[in-house]
Amino acid sequence: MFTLCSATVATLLNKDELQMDLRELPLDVQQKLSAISARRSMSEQDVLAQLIDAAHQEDEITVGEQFFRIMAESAPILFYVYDLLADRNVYANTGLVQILGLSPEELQVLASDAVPTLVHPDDLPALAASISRLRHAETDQLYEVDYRLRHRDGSYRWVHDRARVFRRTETGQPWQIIGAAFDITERRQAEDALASSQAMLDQAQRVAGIGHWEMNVEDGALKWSSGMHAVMGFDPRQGTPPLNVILERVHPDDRAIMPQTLDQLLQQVDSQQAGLVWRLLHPDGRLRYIEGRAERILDATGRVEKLIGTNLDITDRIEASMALQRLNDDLEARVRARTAELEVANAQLQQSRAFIEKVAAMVPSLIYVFDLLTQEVIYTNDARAVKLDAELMRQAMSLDLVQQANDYVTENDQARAMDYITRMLQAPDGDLISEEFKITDVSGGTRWVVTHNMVLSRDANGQARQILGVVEDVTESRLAREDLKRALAHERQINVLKSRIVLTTSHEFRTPLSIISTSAQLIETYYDQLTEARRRAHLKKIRAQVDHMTQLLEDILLVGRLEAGVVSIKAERFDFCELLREVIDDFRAQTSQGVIHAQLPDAPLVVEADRKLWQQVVVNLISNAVKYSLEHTTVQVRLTLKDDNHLHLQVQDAGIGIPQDDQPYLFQAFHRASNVGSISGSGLGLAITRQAVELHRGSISIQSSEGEGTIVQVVAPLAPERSS
Amino acid sequence: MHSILVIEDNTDLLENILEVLEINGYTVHSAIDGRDGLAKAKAHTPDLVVTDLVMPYMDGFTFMERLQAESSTQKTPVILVTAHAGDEARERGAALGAVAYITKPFEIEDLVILINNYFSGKS
Repeated sequence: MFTLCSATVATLLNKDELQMDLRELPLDVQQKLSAISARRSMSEQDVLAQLIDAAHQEDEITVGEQFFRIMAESAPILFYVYDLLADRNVYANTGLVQILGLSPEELQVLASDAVPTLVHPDDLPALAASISRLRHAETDQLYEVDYRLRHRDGSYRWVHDRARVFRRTETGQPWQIIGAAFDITERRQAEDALASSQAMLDQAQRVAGIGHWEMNVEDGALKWSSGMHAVMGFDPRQGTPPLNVILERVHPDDRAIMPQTLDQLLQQVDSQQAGLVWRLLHPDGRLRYIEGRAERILDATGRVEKLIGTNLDITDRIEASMALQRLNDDLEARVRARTAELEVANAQLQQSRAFIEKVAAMVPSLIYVFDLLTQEVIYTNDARAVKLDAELMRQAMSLDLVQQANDYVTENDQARAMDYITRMLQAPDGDLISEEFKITDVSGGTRWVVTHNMVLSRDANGQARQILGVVEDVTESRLAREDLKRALAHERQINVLKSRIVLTTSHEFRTPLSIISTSAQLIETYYDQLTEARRRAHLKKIRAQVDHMTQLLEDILLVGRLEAGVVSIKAERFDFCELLREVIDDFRAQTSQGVIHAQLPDAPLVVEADRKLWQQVVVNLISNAVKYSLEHTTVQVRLTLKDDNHLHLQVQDAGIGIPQDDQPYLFQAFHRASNVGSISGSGLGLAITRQAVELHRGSISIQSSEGEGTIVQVVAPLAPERSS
Repeated sequence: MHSILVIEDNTDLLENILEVLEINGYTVHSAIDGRDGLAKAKAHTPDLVVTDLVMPYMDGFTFMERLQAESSTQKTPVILVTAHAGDEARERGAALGAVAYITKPFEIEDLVILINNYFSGKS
């Protein structure tokens, strides 16, 4: 029944406000808006028109009041009559219940408090202004206002209120107004959502530097979003600019390709989309890079209906990328330059290293760098060039390891090696510390090395970290030096011996020569005064002294031959006891000085040896014992058989003894002890004795204390060893 | 008649010296080492001493020092006979006041002439 008067209501309502492009809204919002719009056209517009018409005729048609009442009660709209003079509602229909959940009676109770109680505080000024206009309205003009009313449940409902004066006082002053309030809560919410969505889209496009456009193919009409204006630098208030104005903003070099791309998109069936990057001459003077994308939309017949596209400002990205590229190029250039420098430096380093290694290889010493932390040799020169063999080198290097030093340095050098290492580690940087050591090589041989060491680097705490070492093998020069020293010592010894020979021979020969000389002169000069017996005595003396001198000469020659090793044994079998007895008897006959006690085995002690040499040995030993005996002492001679196959001869005296200092030289020819005084002797006896004993594979030993006496012991095999 | 003390450890040589001095009319005394010689010198106070230098118990130089230390023999002249050929011994002998120094081996007549001359020069 409401649809009857739709044409009338259309004049009352501003339909334009609904003319918005629904396609720009989200789908759900579009649906809601359509629903509201539909309902409005069916109910509120038509109903309102009818109601107002009816109200106009209220005074004349009383029957109409009843109709109006029925109509009002059944409509989902709040109808009211408000008394401007009493400032209160005088009528409200059941729309009050539907919209606000209040009964008309409850509204009556509120009386003049109804407006401040039910209207949202924010909307009171707008409502008050509207009421104020109605108070002064001179016509029946319709006044509209939107405001919120509080529902019984506390929520607010938006209403669209249309009101007009419908009763005036006698003076024509507005008295009562009639109004209709439509619940527009859902519409307001949809509008808010749409506005918010549009604002968000615009905001998002501005932030992203993106805009979108749409071009109708048929008439070429172009439509931009507000984001498009921002991207392109146009004022959105002036609407979408014409295509020729837009093209002026395109960089001249890119102007041709843009229409070209659009043409291609229009013509090419297979490709739905196109994209390109072009440059924009932005009004702010900055060159912008725009990434454009376009897509064609086909109608139901398959014809291209329109083109849509987006423009994205990628200036920041391009500029950043270009800056990055420049940075990369710069970096690459620097890397190339640095690499070239490094290559040159490396080549120089290689060259100088090769030079140093050549030099080091030529040095006949071991050069190395030792790391104390890792205990490893981190550099060494070419070992082949070093005289030391590899093992010896390793050992030589070990000189620098405190814990290993003892293994290689010979015993006498160990303390010195430790001291050396300590000194070297504590020495100021750059100080080369050198020392000579005697080391034992792998074959057990002895070598001398001079090590030169210095601390090459230290750690943060100043502890030595790397050691540079040079080890020279000085064995040959050392041996040569020692040979020289020995030769010099030998030379000195020979000189001493020579003067001793001169002294001894001069004394030992001069006395017999004096006797020979004086006896001969006595015979010659005093022949007549001498008796025959005296003359014979002198001749005998001469003969005896000549024999003595001959013996002395023979001793000198014998010791020379023995030392030269040219004497060979003339072996014969004889009884050693017998030989000993003969010699002792001779001594007893010759000398009154000292007493000889002999202790000999009863059985013969047969030996196979050189009897003459053994006789000389026995004579020498007994002669020495007698000669150096103190007065009233005896000489003990004892012969025994030892181990069944050795003779053991011991001659002991209680004589002047041999000073400790002379004992090492006892067996040297012409050496005489310092305490012999005027006791004559050639210093040949013991030299001959030892040579003779050793020639028979025997041994001789002497124990002696100065002032107490001497024991000489000889041990020799009874017969020479048979080789078969 | 002058008396002479001869000290020599080699008895063969001692006999020869004594023999030639007796033939030449001197009264002789003999000793076989320095210690023996010092005792004989004090006992006989000889007019001259002929002594060897190298002897057992006491050498010729020590003998001279000891001889000169005794008042009775303080002025007794000494002739040294020695096998030492060195100048050192000769100089030491001269420093001790030896009247002559004869080196072994020697001509026996040289010793006789030396002694004769010594006594004829004194008288």
